[in-house]
Amino acid sequence: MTTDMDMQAIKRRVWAIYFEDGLFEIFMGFALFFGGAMLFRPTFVIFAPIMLSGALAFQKAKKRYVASRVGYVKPSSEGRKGRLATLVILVLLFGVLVFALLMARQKGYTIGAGGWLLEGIGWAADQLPIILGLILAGIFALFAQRAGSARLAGYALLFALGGVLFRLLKLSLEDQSKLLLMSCGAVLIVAGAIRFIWFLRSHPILPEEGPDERA
Amino acid sequence: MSAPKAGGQGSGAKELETIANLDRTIHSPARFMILAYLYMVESADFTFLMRETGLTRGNLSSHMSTLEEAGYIVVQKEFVDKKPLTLLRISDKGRAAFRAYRESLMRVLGEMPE
Repeated sequence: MTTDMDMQAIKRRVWAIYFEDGLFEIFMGFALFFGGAMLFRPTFVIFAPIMLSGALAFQKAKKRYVASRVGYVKPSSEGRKGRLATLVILVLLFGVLVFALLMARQKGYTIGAGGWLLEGIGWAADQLPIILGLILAGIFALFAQRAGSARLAGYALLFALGGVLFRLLKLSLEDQSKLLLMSCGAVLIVAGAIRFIWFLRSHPILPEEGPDERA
Repeated sequence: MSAPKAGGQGSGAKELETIANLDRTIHSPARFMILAYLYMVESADFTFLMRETGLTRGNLSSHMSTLEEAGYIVVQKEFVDKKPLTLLRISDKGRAAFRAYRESLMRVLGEMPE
């Protein structure tokens, strides 16, 4: 029986197990790929419901393929509830940010005195791929820190660099941003799929849990 | 659990009373481990807890029943592809009891001389 009861170590281990199977990468990969493809189009409004459906499919896949091998665990984030609400808010904020930056750029940003905010937004709009890369890097760095995962930290570094590299491409700002998100998504889908196949092969299905197991 | 009345009225007797008042439902290594895991997660299934705690199926089942009877955990059964999945999560009562147990234990141990 294990006697090590370091609560923070438990938390880190739970997150590490959660990310072990590669399903999170696949889910995030699809979200970024389709999010990138829909960016700057009116269809972007259906991105939030698509994300929610994806999150449900992700939970179902966890229960179907992972629970029978290593067990099922759902880590708690800051609070026990409100993870779904956090996801929706993040998606909405992301959408608002992108559209605000785009609109500011289209309308110009030197509007009268005291237009420093718009000027700032305008400047940020011109660096949109870098900002998107940094947002993605921040999300993955947070998860990497929670799980103590070098793999997730690697993605964070890759996305931060990707933001800078895509900004240097001789394309419109919109295309740079779209391509960045779609490329990051594609990388995650491929890496996640490889990881998931490895997980299925290296973790055999455990004997079934009997319905009368409880005393 | 009811606390035995301490005979002496000194500070030592008070500390002993704290130890005697520790929640016995939690005061077992196995149940403490189960609650510690559930305290840190939103929910976990039977297989996950079995792997992480190193308890046998029967042992975990028995401790799970004790914790459920005390109202410290909520057990939910569901079927995924016709296979049973037993999900466990800590209840508000269990969370409060675990926190109180941890604080009592830390207080007692913190006051102990090196």
